[in-house]
Amino acid sequence: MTTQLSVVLVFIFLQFLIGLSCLTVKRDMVRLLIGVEILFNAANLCFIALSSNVTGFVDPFPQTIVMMAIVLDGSVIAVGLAIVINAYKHYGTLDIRRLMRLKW
Amino acid sequence: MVAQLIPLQGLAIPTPVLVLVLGGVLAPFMGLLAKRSRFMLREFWAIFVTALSLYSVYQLYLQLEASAGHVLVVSSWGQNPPFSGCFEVDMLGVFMAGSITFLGVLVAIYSTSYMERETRLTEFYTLFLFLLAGLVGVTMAGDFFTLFIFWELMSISSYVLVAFLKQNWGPLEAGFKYFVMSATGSAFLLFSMAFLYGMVGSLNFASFAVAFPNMDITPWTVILFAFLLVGFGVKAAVFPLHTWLPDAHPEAPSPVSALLSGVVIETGLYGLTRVLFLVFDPGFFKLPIAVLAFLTMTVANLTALRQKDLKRLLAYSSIAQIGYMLVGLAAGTAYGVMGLLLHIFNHSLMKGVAFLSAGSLIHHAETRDIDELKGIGRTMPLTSFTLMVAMLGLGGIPPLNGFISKFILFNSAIGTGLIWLTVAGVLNSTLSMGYYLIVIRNLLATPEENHGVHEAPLPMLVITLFMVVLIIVFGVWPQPAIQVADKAALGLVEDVAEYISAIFTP
Amino acid sequence: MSSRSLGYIKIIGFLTIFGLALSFSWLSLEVEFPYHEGGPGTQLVPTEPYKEITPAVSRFMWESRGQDIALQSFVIFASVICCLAMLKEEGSEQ
Repeated sequence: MTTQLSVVLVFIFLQFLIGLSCLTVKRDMVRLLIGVEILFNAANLCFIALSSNVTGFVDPFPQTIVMMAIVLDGSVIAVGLAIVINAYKHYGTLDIRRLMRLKW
Repeated sequence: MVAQLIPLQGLAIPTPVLVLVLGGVLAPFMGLLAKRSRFMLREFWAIFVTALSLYSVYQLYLQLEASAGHVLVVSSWGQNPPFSGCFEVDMLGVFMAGSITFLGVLVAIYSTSYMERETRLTEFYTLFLFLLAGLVGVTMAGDFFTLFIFWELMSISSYVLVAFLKQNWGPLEAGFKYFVMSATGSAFLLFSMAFLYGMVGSLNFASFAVAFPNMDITPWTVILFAFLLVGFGVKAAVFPLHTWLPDAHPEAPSPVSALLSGVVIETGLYGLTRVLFLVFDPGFFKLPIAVLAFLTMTVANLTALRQKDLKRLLAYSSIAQIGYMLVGLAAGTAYGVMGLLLHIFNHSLMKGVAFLSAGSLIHHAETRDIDELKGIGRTMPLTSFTLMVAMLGLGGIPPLNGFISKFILFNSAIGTGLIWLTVAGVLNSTLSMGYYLIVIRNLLATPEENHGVHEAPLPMLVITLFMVVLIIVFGVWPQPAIQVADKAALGLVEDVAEYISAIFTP
Repeated sequence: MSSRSLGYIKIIGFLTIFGLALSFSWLSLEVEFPYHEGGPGTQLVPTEPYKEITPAVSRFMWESRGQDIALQSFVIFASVICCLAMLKEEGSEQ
């Protein structure tokens, strides 16, 4: 039985897979951060989809969770950007394939 | 039952969390004051706050012993538990918090002399206190989103502490790789929270324990299990997701490495244990966790044989020890979980000593290569002695405490029919003694030139010797630790009814 | 790593992702999501007086998640200290 929730879940899974493939394919550090952000966004969308499942009513609990999760994700990405800025300041390039020196 | 742990109007947070968080907030001010005066104010503030938190964990343990059901629910501002964030403190939380704060005090005293040549020390001690606050908060959380908040607090502190010595390239690359993998794990954790909310209707751990025994196993529960395993497994370094650990642990400063290997990965394992026992029944996850334990142990031990860097070898050894702990989780009984908890405590002591004394050796010799550290046993005899005892303990030699917890772990696997896992575990333990003995042989060899005895500075030496004495004492007389671990494991596996009734019938 | 094996890995990767997308879509369309099977959810807010949704949601947020919001402020403080630690120059202190 295909409800409205099922269709939204298909697209949420699709966005989740887009985020994962962005993490595996891209080689620029900032693009990897964007991939992580896409994954967090997919998880927040999953909460919102569950919030509006019953027609005519709105569930307030997932919406409050999303409001707090957005703040937490934002601070995580801010710390990541600080690390990337340091890498650029020292080494001039943001390409992780050229900068991978720790092996085995 | 709802308890007021601090007699402040409306504010009730478990005392260890409050002490560590306030200590972290006030630490920058201590740093500003320390710049004016000559006194080592920052270090003493860190030692004072961690010692105070250890004392408050002990008080919390006494309060738990005295209360009837051994569970305390703490939530502030008159909020109602099933839909609000709360802290639920039971024996398991107190055991983990005790391990964390104990190692925290010792590492704080050690790092006063290890980090004295570095800059940005204010930020180091502030983030150190926030890391401990996040760890203790994760172990005491009673609601999944409260756990997620403290999980993120712990994670962001550890990303920056790994990348702290940013003038070299190694810490930056290791910190960035750790950041990407751990943030992905947090996103998977948020996903699994969404599924759990959709199935149960609230995010409280007690409501999971009430709701899930009545639901059938649909494909959605299998997806939920996979997402939970990835979400917690990235931090706990289980097999396919362990690749950040061999880069992050060597490149971090040695006190931070000791904390990371000693308590941070075990907190990931604590989260996995807590949620798996409350949500699924043990027969469901026995086989997948057993396979993961086998793969983690074997891959880590085989890769560790090729290492030439001392701290990287210790990092692979940490992954192997997580594999042994997963054997206890796969057994699914209270005896297995008791072995897991006892091994968490013992491993934090032993791996703490190993990383701290390796840090002392590296601090003196300025190199991490095992071949170049040849003969350093003559130059620094006491520190090499502590490293040798730690490695013998990690391999599982009888009078030391590693033997007892490994014995309980492998014994529990036999009890539930996973005999192949026990055989694999014993073979892996023997294999791990191989690479420990290589390091010990290099420590005891005769050096080319004789530099005379030049020991490590006093705080580093005293802390490592104290921890070695504790290792030997807990190996010969393990009863206190076994009793507390037993109560903690029983509280998780058997007495779930106590845990549920603390929230649902106030 | 030669470019031919890199091409094979790319093709296998694309097929894996495509297969995962198809299987997740089949799963969510065929098997119904067990919504709130374990227990009743919170008090739902009706959508009819549209302007009343926001005050109701924010009242719910402060009443039941106030503790988490207060603890979140420490996470924000910690991330400020993290950025300070990463972006400060070496040797600027004594």
